[in-house]
Amino acid sequence: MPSPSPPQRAEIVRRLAISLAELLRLESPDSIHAESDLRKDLGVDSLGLVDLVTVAEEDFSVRFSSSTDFSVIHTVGDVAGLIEEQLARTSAV
Amino acid sequence: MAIQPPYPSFETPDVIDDFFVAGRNLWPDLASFKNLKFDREQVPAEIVRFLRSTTLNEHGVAHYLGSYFQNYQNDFKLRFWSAMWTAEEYTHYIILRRICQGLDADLTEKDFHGLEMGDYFQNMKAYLDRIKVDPSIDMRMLQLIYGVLQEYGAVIAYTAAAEQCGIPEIAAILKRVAKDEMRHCRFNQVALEAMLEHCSEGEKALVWPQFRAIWGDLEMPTEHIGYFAEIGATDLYTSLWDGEKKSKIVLYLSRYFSKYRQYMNNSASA
Repeated sequence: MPSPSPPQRAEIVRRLAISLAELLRLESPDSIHAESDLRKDLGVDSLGLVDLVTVAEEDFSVRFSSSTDFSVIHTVGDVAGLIEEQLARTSAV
Repeated sequence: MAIQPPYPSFETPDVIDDFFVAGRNLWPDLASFKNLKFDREQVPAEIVRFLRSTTLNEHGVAHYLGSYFQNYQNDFKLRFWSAMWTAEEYTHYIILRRICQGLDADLTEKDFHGLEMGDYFQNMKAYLDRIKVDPSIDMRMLQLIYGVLQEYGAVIAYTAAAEQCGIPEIAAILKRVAKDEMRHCRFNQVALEAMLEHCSEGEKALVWPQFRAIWGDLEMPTEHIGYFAEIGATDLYTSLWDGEKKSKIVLYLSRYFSKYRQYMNNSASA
């Protein structure tokens, strides 16, 4: 049986929004979009980054590269891009 | 009244014995550092400042040991570990001081006096009291979690200093120091894991939130000794954590501590 194809960017953003809403105790994930700025719009600080990394790696079963520089990751879409990259690498193996 | 931990950290002293034996062979060339000589012009001024302040910081082990002994209560094995750790950090002080001397940037009597006048014990106690997520948390657990963060922070700071110092010989020494700090980081993990084998589910559930509380309000030892602020050296350590290095810290610590989230989730759903 073929393995399921990795989720597309929009689906990753949607799932990330749900996780972030839960982490940030927002009533709904509806206000979180690919363009949402992690720091300015969502208040993700260095502590929030720990939660985000943990949840993203668990939910999507990926491991961010050890050379990842989160200081240049600004939006939810950027995180989704990283996850997409890792998923593609995993499925290519 | 003596404080009696309800359970020991390690069942046997074997881990401590292994740590001690391995530690005897880390710096067989220690005596050879006596006459180092470097061109100070090749080393960025910020790195020279870092080297001086971190040398002083490593000399501060007498302060830190008091706090460790208090927090490890009468856990005999962890007290042994703290004494061995102290000796290894003092070795780092000697090595780093030799580098400073080689750069004509030796510490002064004023530096040593300023360090010795610090009130680390009370300041650290106040800090740990402030960041405790539960008033009844075993102080050994709190100290070990803090230890993982502190020691990994040191790994990253020494690695960054090695990359930026401009002199391969100094870089090689700093990388060896970083390796030792990783060993200390790992010991804190091993001790925490050994201790958790005896803990209740409720106690295990404290690890993840306690890690988050420390990370969210992280203060390194230099922040608890007034002299470092006097010489503007409080943040030199963490200033080496640029975006990439801080990301490394976030990834490493998140991955290590995330395995303890399950206990918190179990506790919440019980």
